[in-house]
Amino acid sequence: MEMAMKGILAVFWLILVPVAVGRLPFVKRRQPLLTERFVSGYLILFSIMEVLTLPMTFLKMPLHVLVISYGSIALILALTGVFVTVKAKDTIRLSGIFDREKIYFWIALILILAQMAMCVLLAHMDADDAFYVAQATSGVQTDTIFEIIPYTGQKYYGIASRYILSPFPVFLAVVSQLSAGLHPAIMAHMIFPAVFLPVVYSVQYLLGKKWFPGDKRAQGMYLFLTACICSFSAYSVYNSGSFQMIRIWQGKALLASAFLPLLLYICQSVLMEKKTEYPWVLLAMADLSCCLLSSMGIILGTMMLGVFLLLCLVIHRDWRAFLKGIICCIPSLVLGVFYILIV
Amino acid sequence: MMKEMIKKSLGFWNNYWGSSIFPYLLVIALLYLLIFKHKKKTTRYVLAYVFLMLFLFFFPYTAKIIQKCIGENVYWRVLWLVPSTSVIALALTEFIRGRKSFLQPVLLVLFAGMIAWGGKEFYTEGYYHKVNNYQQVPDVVAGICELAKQDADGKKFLLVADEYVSSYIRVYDPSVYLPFGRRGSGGAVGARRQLYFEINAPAFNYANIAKYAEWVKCNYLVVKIPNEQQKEELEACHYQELGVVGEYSVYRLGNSVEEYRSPLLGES
Repeated sequence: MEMAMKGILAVFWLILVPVAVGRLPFVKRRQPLLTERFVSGYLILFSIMEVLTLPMTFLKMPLHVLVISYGSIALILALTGVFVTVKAKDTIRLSGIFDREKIYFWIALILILAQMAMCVLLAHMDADDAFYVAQATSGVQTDTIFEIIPYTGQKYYGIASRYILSPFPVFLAVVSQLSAGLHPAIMAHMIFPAVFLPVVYSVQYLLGKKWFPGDKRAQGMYLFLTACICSFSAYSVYNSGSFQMIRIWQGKALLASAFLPLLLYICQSVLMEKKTEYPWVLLAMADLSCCLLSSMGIILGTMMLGVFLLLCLVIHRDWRAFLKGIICCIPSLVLGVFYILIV
Repeated sequence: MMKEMIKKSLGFWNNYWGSSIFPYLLVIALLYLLIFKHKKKTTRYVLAYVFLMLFLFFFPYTAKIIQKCIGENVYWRVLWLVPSTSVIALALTEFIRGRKSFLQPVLLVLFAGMIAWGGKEFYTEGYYHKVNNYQQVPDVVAGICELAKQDADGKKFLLVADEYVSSYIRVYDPSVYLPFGRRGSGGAVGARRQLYFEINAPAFNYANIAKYAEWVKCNYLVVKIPNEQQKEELEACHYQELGVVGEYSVYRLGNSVEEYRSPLLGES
């Protein structure tokens, strides 16, 4: 019963809240798709987490202050998102859901559900958890943020290395506490795959929609093929498919499998279109979310954004878009300087 | 310098793809899109991005700068910026949708088969295991933690184990203190350093393990099940067997955890 309650709270904070929050970037725009709401919600929530966690870490504030702050802000944004949804009279579009054109989509969904079942019900032992998950369990146990060495339980002397700039383990600790104290290892190994695999494929679905507009059959085929490729990525431990399938609860895996492709999608939609499909702030949030997930994200996210800015300048000669893009990069550039100084 | 950098980049490239067909699929996909689909605006942008990114990866001077930023050992992670899964799926889908409708499901099945044949699947490659704890750590780790905690009866304690066990102990239970973590991180200095090497040695010297563990005042010592002589060596250093969990024996220093208190426990 207790476990069921914690599970329900986990669903609330990790699925319902992001979907509600994800309505906000579309206030003056069209009704977003469910997948757009889901991924936009995470962009907003991850950005908030990064902005809240960094100062609290340096000020050595207790974890429960961060939990209350993040929880309150997320709830307020979610309620605002619900209000906007009701006011805009958003509809749930179910017609055509079982059309023949969507058969490939349903086949893809079966494969994705099989992947989720495997990741949730079976265990993959990854020794990197000794840092990432243990950082969360240590934080929860001592009510601290990056003050305890996860390997030993001793206190850090000085700055807890460059990982402090990418506090995704703290996000794990926070959502565990918001879910009535669900053990962070259970949250990481059982809940996160069930939540973040859908995030991965939501991004792929959006890429498919962009590349095959109006062709539902092709979109379904594309999604199925991406799921196939990921399922058979065990040929090395380095590729993004492998990271996705065996350790998606770690920030760097989520970066490689979901958020770098998402940044790619948003760069195309904002920088490479005559009329931007999304607000510029989502681009900045995508870059900031990459910074939260991993110290790699600080550098890699900025690199991707930089390449697209260059393409935008060369192909469209759009100096305004270029400058706006540079502004979106500022948080990761600042963190990048810190990262290089600390490393 | 240039030749060496290119060689290194190629080395990372080969490791990234293993023995799969996917690098070849990626190249074929890029060529197909370049030759047949370059007029499509979205495809042009993707191609431009991918080619530019591959250039940045292989060009020695940019490779050198990036390696200075992120570290040489993890340079392969730059390949995460190449959306290979998306590009391969994009090219295959473009190819299929250009065919007659009755051929499309056949081609989809064929390509899925090719992907399955050219790659490797996770479950059959042994990446996943069944465990009996929700935290999804090795069952032996869960068992060791529970045994030690039950014996300690709410008191803080210091536990030492080999690399495999100590990597997951604090994932399962962060109230357990360790003298060092994975690869000796977090404190393998002095006697702790010696203990780290001894407990992870290819051939165990139980006398040395017990000696250093006693110096460090590790309340619990987790070792592979010892033979009779090895048990005597452990008992000579005041370690008493508490129980057996899987292939490990758990030993306690002295008669209770209160008898030996390490300064690492942070008690005044």
